[in-house]
Amino acid sequence: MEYKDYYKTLGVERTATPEQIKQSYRKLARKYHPDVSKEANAEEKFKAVQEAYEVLKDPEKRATYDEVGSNWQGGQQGAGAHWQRSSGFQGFGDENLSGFSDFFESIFGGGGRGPHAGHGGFRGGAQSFDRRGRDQHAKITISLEEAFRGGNKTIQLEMPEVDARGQVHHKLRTLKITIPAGTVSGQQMRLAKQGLPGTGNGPPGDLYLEIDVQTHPYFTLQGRDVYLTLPLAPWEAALGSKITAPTLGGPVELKISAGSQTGQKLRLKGRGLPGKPHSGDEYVLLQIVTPPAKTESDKALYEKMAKEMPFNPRQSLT
Amino acid sequence: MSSQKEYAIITIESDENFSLEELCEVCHQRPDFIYELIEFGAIEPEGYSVETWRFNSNQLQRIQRILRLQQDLEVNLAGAALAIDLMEKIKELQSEVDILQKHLTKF
Repeated sequence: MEYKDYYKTLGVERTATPEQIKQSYRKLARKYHPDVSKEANAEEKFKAVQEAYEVLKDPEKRATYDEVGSNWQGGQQGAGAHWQRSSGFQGFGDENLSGFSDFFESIFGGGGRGPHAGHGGFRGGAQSFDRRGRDQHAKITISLEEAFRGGNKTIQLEMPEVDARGQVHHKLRTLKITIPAGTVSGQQMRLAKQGLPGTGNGPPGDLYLEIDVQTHPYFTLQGRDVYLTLPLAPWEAALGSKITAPTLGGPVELKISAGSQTGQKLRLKGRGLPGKPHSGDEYVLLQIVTPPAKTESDKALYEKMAKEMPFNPRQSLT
Repeated sequence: MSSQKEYAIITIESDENFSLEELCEVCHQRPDFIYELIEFGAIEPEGYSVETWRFNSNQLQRIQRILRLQQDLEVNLAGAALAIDLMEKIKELQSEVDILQKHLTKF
């Protein structure tokens, strides 16, 4: 087991005052909060910061930690007394599913208040032995095609489970889920009663899966609408043409009217992600691409155009 | 020590919605808190009376986000509601930036 330097995690000196610890925690919590932060491993960092603060904000825990820290040896188990919450109300075994590290558990046992734990829940009162299990949150990534069509997906999640003796083990669970067609990024799915087990006769918590739709090489999503940049040859735009454009549901024929320009937006109604009450649309953004003048005859064609088609693209700037 | 367990879950209701009582149950809150959120305009139920109110999964998600911000960052309800509105706005703008960037840097 690895020793955790909680002072380093919070970026404070070992001599830091409670005020300095609180300040540093607040700053880092804002920076790494998974709901706010766009950093790659925000969640992991946020948990580390929370764990460090859980210990250092509490004078008794901090003292225990300091004592352990001064004679820590790798692989050491159960140093220091198992921590009992002085308020004594959270001793029913579910609190050691805190999501904190083994290092934390080895020193403080099950006394921690885990990340996102019991949001002031009124069901698990101090007197009750029947407590609903905690909700779990996880993120899953799906392709844009999966978001469009929906379908079955098998995912694996590591979830803590409690055995008969109240010990916590991490088990790999395989879940088969059905992604509804028209799922958007950030959307949350609730799998009722698939969270952590309850205690006593308490029901299990729920499992929430937040969907992340992978970026696509040429489609971009905005809500249920899909955007596509469609390259055109100058003659296709100038003379009008019928071309084939990709959509999520397969290629469609698109009529380009004569005199089309770069930046023009065509709407293909209902060709975005399916949904209620309306499906999204696909927006095609036209982009005229200049063919390179590679050969002598290419150059001659451009020169002929320059001579025979007087055209000043900068007219509006004069 | 890890063993495999399989759960086949056949359907997930994508447009799951809740009554006030059900919503309180899933987000572990009292009705008072939900009334407060509605007063702040943080969520808007469908339906004209408390008995017919329906809340959708997007609103549940907003409530959970507000709760996390309140607990983890010690912001008050008004601050949390403002933060999630701004975060949604940022998300929208970010996808617009992505579209424009893709369009501009294609070639």
